[in-house]
Amino acid sequence: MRVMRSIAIILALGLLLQGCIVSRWRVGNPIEEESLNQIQKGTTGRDQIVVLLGAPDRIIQGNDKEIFQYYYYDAKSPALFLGLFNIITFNVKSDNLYVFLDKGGIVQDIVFGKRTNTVEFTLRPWGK
Amino acid sequence: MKPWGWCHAVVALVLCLTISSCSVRRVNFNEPIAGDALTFIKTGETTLQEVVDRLGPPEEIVTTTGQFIAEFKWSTTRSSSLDFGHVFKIVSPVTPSMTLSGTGINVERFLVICDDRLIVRSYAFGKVDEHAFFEFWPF
Repeated sequence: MRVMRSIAIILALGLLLQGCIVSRWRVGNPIEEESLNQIQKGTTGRDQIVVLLGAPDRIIQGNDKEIFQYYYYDAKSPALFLGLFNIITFNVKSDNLYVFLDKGGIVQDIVFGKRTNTVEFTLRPWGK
Repeated sequence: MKPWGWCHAVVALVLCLTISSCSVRRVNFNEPIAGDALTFIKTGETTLQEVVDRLGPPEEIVTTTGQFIAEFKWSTTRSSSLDFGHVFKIVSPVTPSMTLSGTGINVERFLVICDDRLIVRSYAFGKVDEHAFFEFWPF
Protein backbone atom coordinates (compact mmCIF):
# COMPACT_ATOMS: atom_id res chain seq x y z
CA MET A 1 0.00 0.00 0.00
CA ARG A 2 2.86 2.34 0.93
CA VAL A 3 4.63 1.52 -2.38
CA MET A 4 1.46 2.27 -4.34
CA ARG A 5 1.11 5.59 -2.53
CA SER A 6 4.74 6.49 -3.35
CA ILE A 7 4.21 5.60 -7.03
CA ALA A 8 1.03 7.69 -7.09
CA ILE A 9 2.87 10.67 -5.55
CA ILE A 10 5.75 10.35 -8.06
CA LEU A 11 3.25 10.08 -10.95
CA ALA A 12 1.32 13.11 -9.69
CA LEU A 13 4.54 15.11 -9.35
CA GLY A 14 5.59 14.01 -12.83
CA LEU A 15 2.31 15.18 -14.30
CA LEU A 16 2.51 18.40 -12.32
CA LEU A 17 5.98 19.20 -13.61
CA GLN A 18 5.08 20.13 -17.15
CA GLY A 19 8.47 21.38 -18.07
CA CYS A 20 11.59 23.19 -17.05
CA ILE A 21 14.14 25.38 -18.77
CA VAL A 22 17.69 26.00 -17.70
CA SER A 23 19.36 28.70 -19.76
CA ARG A 24 22.48 30.80 -19.67
CA TRP A 25 23.17 34.17 -21.29
CA ARG A 26 26.48 35.95 -21.71
CA VAL A 27 27.25 39.42 -23.00
CA GLY A 28 30.80 40.37 -23.94
CA ASN A 29 33.99 38.43 -23.38
CA PRO A 30 35.23 37.30 -19.95
CA ILE A 31 37.99 39.61 -18.71
CA GLU A 32 41.08 37.42 -18.30
CA GLU A 33 43.06 38.19 -15.18
CA GLU A 34 46.22 36.87 -16.92
CA SER A 35 45.96 39.74 -19.39
CA LEU A 36 45.48 42.22 -16.55
CA ASN A 37 48.68 41.02 -14.87
CA GLN A 38 50.61 42.06 -17.97
CA ILE A 39 49.47 45.68 -17.66
CA GLN A 40 52.02 47.88 -15.88
CA LYS A 41 51.02 51.29 -14.58
CA GLY A 42 53.21 54.02 -16.02
CA THR A 43 54.58 51.95 -18.91
CA THR A 44 51.84 50.07 -20.76
CA GLY A 45 50.37 52.09 -23.61
CA ARG A 46 46.99 52.32 -25.28
CA ASP A 47 48.02 50.10 -28.20
CA GLN A 48 49.19 47.30 -25.91
CA ILE A 49 45.92 47.49 -23.98
CA VAL A 50 44.01 46.97 -27.21
CA VAL A 51 46.26 44.03 -28.15
CA LEU A 52 45.77 42.42 -24.72
CA LEU A 53 42.07 43.08 -24.16
CA GLY A 54 40.67 44.02 -27.54
CA ALA A 55 38.77 47.18 -28.37
CA PRO A 56 37.05 48.70 -25.34
CA ASP A 57 33.29 48.45 -25.00
CA ARG A 58 33.13 52.10 -24.03
CA ILE A 59 35.50 55.08 -23.93
CA ILE A 60 34.95 57.78 -21.30
CA GLN A 61 36.79 61.08 -21.56
CA GLY A 62 37.33 63.77 -18.95
CA ASN A 63 39.78 65.32 -16.52
CA ASP A 64 42.56 65.03 -19.15
CA LYS A 65 42.15 61.29 -19.09
CA GLU A 66 40.69 58.58 -21.23
CA ILE A 67 39.02 55.61 -19.58
CA PHE A 68 38.63 52.32 -21.45
CA GLN A 69 35.74 50.31 -20.07
CA TYR A 70 35.39 46.57 -20.63
CA TYR A 71 32.36 44.69 -19.37
CA TYR A 72 31.10 41.14 -19.22
CA TYR A 73 27.66 39.99 -18.11
CA ASP A 74 26.73 36.46 -17.11
CA ALA A 75 23.12 35.39 -16.50
CA LYS A 76 21.75 32.09 -15.29
CA SER A 77 18.06 31.46 -15.61
CA PRO A 78 16.15 28.47 -14.28
CA ALA A 79 12.42 28.13 -14.98
CA LEU A 80 9.91 25.63 -13.68
CA PHE A 81 6.55 25.06 -15.33
CA LEU A 82 4.22 23.37 -12.88
CA GLY A 83 0.67 22.38 -13.71
CA LEU A 84 -0.78 25.25 -11.72
CA PHE A 85 2.05 27.67 -11.52
CA ASN A 86 5.13 28.85 -13.44
CA ILE A 87 8.25 30.24 -11.81
CA ILE A 88 11.00 31.95 -13.79
CA THR A 89 14.12 33.51 -12.31
CA PHE A 90 16.88 35.39 -14.10
CA ASN A 91 20.09 36.09 -12.16
CA VAL A 92 22.52 38.53 -13.77
CA LYS A 93 25.92 39.72 -12.58
CA SER A 94 28.62 41.83 -14.16
CA ASP A 95 32.40 42.18 -14.34
CA ASN A 96 33.83 45.59 -15.17
CA LEU A 97 37.32 46.79 -15.97
CA TYR A 98 38.31 50.44 -16.20
CA VAL A 99 41.73 51.37 -17.57
CA PHE A 100 42.67 55.00 -16.91
CA LEU A 101 45.04 56.46 -19.52
CA ASP A 102 46.82 59.81 -19.31
CA LYS A 103 47.13 62.38 -22.11
CA GLY A 104 49.98 60.42 -23.67
CA GLY A 105 47.96 57.20 -23.73
CA ILE A 106 49.90 55.53 -20.88
CA VAL A 107 48.09 53.51 -18.20
CA GLN A 108 47.75 55.46 -14.96
CA ASP A 109 45.35 53.26 -13.05
CA ILE A 110 43.28 50.11 -13.34
CA VAL A 111 40.02 49.38 -11.54
CA PHE A 112 38.71 45.85 -11.91
CA GLY A 113 36.00 43.92 -10.14
CA LYS A 114 34.53 40.47 -10.75
CA ARG A 115 31.10 39.27 -9.73
CA THR A 116 30.19 36.70 -12.39
CA ASN A 117 31.94 33.88 -10.52
CA THR A 118 29.10 34.04 -7.98
CA VAL A 119 26.07 33.82 -10.33
CA GLU A 120 23.89 30.86 -9.44
CA PHE A 121 20.94 28.96 -10.89
CA THR A 122 18.71 29.98 -7.99
CA LEU A 123 14.98 29.50 -8.47
CA ARG A 124 13.68 31.81 -5.78
CA PRO A 125 11.24 34.51 -6.89
CA TRP A 126 10.38 35.58 -3.34
CA GLY A 127 12.37 37.29 -0.64
CA LYS A 128 14.71 40.26 -0.67
CA MET B 1 -22.92 12.66 -7.39
CA LYS B 2 -25.08 15.11 -5.41
CA PRO B 3 -25.80 18.52 -7.05
CA TRP B 4 -23.60 20.21 -4.43
CA GLY B 5 -20.77 17.80 -5.28
CA TRP B 6 -21.01 18.71 -8.97
CA CYS B 7 -21.07 22.37 -8.11
CA HIS B 8 -17.90 22.04 -6.03
CA ALA B 9 -16.20 20.04 -8.77
CA VAL B 10 -17.03 22.70 -11.39
CA VAL B 11 -15.82 25.51 -9.12
CA ALA B 12 -12.59 23.59 -8.42
CA LEU B 13 -12.08 22.96 -12.17
CA VAL B 14 -12.66 26.62 -13.04
CA LEU B 15 -10.27 27.71 -10.28
CA CYS B 16 -7.62 25.26 -11.47
CA LEU B 17 -7.97 26.47 -15.05
CA THR B 18 -7.89 30.07 -13.89
CA ILE B 19 -4.62 29.72 -12.07
CA SER B 20 -3.16 27.20 -14.49
CA SER B 21 -1.40 30.00 -16.31
CA CYS B 22 -0.22 31.95 -13.33
CA SER B 23 3.43 32.98 -13.66
CA VAL B 24 5.85 34.75 -11.39
CA ARG B 25 9.14 36.03 -12.77
CA ARG B 26 12.04 37.65 -11.05
CA VAL B 27 15.20 39.23 -12.45
CA ASN B 28 18.08 39.92 -10.07
CA PHE B 29 20.85 42.19 -11.29
CA ASN B 30 23.94 42.20 -9.05
CA GLU B 31 23.95 41.87 -5.27
CA PRO B 32 22.43 44.65 -3.15
CA ILE B 33 24.88 46.88 -1.27
CA ALA B 34 23.88 47.44 2.35
CA GLY B 35 24.75 50.56 4.29
CA ASP B 36 26.45 48.61 7.07
CA ALA B 37 28.87 47.11 4.54
CA LEU B 38 30.44 50.54 4.02
CA THR B 39 32.07 51.03 7.41
CA PHE B 40 35.47 50.28 5.87
CA ILE B 41 35.34 53.39 3.66
CA LYS B 42 37.39 56.26 5.06
CA THR B 43 37.02 59.39 2.96
CA GLY B 44 40.38 60.78 1.93
CA GLU B 45 42.12 57.42 2.44
CA THR B 46 40.24 54.55 0.79
CA THR B 47 40.87 54.04 -2.91
CA LEU B 48 38.26 53.16 -5.51
CA GLN B 49 39.97 49.77 -6.08
CA GLU B 50 39.57 48.96 -2.37
CA VAL B 51 35.86 49.75 -2.64
CA VAL B 52 35.61 47.58 -5.75
CA ASP B 53 37.41 44.70 -4.01
CA ARG B 54 34.70 44.67 -1.32
CA LEU B 55 31.57 45.63 -3.27
CA GLY B 56 32.26 44.54 -6.83
CA PRO B 57 32.80 46.84 -9.80
CA PRO B 58 30.77 49.96 -10.64
CA GLU B 59 28.56 49.76 -13.72
CA GLU B 60 29.62 53.18 -14.86
CA ILE B 61 32.23 55.85 -14.20
CA VAL B 62 31.47 59.41 -15.23
CA THR B 63 33.75 62.43 -15.05
CA THR B 64 33.09 65.88 -13.69
CA THR B 65 35.62 68.66 -13.18
CA GLY B 66 38.51 67.10 -11.30
CA GLN B 67 36.39 64.18 -10.09
CA PHE B 68 35.32 60.70 -11.06
CA ILE B 69 31.94 59.37 -10.01
CA ALA B 70 31.59 55.59 -9.83
CA GLU B 71 28.02 54.36 -10.02
CA PHE B 72 27.23 50.97 -8.50
CA LYS B 73 23.87 49.62 -9.61
CA TRP B 74 21.70 46.68 -8.64
CA SER B 75 18.08 45.91 -9.32
CA THR B 76 15.23 43.55 -8.64
CA THR B 77 12.43 43.13 -11.16
CA ARG B 78 9.31 41.24 -10.20
CA SER B 79 6.66 40.37 -12.72
CA SER B 80 3.53 38.27 -12.47
CA SER B 81 0.71 37.37 -14.80
CA LEU B 82 -2.58 35.56 -14.71
CA ASP B 83 -4.23 34.32 -17.91
CA PHE B 84 -8.01 33.98 -17.51
CA GLY B 85 -8.32 32.77 -21.09
CA HIS B 86 -7.73 29.20 -19.92
CA VAL B 87 -11.23 29.20 -18.37
CA PHE B 88 -12.55 28.99 -21.95
CA LYS B 89 -10.92 25.59 -22.33
CA ILE B 90 -14.14 24.19 -20.85
CA VAL B 91 -16.34 25.39 -23.69
CA SER B 92 -14.00 26.22 -26.54
CA PRO B 93 -11.33 24.39 -28.54
CA VAL B 94 -9.51 27.71 -28.83
CA THR B 95 -7.82 29.22 -25.80
CA PRO B 96 -7.86 33.00 -26.06
CA SER B 97 -5.38 35.10 -24.14
CA MET B 98 -6.91 37.32 -21.44
CA THR B 99 -3.93 38.19 -19.31
CA LEU B 100 -3.60 40.53 -16.39
CA SER B 101 0.01 41.30 -15.70
CA GLY B 102 2.09 43.59 -13.55
CA THR B 103 5.81 44.34 -13.49
CA GLY B 104 7.79 46.39 -11.04
CA ILE B 105 11.46 47.30 -11.37
CA ASN B 106 13.54 48.50 -8.43
CA VAL B 107 16.81 50.04 -9.53
CA GLU B 108 19.11 51.10 -6.71
CA ARG B 109 22.34 53.08 -6.87
CA PHE B 110 25.35 53.77 -4.77
CA LEU B 111 27.61 56.61 -5.88
CA VAL B 112 31.25 57.01 -4.93
CA ILE B 113 32.91 60.33 -5.71
CA CYS B 114 36.68 60.10 -6.15
CA ASP B 115 39.36 62.70 -6.79
CA ASP B 116 41.84 62.68 -9.64
CA ARG B 117 43.96 60.02 -7.86
CA LEU B 118 40.89 57.78 -7.35
CA ILE B 119 40.75 58.38 -3.61
CA VAL B 120 37.20 58.34 -2.22
CA ARG B 121 36.03 61.83 -1.29
CA SER B 122 32.39 61.08 -0.53
CA TYR B 123 29.67 58.52 -1.15
CA ALA B 124 25.89 58.33 -1.12
CA PHE B 125 22.99 56.02 -1.83
CA GLY B 126 20.40 56.93 -4.44
CA LYS B 127 16.73 57.14 -3.56
CA VAL B 128 15.19 53.69 -3.25
CA ASP B 129 12.32 52.66 -5.53
CA GLU B 130 9.78 50.52 -3.76
CA HIS B 131 7.40 49.29 -6.41
CA ALA B 132 8.69 45.82 -7.24
CA PHE B 133 6.28 43.33 -5.74
CA PHE B 134 4.11 40.61 -7.22
CA GLU B 135 0.94 42.21 -8.47
CA PHE B 136 -1.53 40.78 -10.98
CA TRP B 137 -3.87 43.76 -11.10
CA PRO B 138 -2.57 46.32 -13.59
CA PHE B 139 -5.21 49.02 -13.02
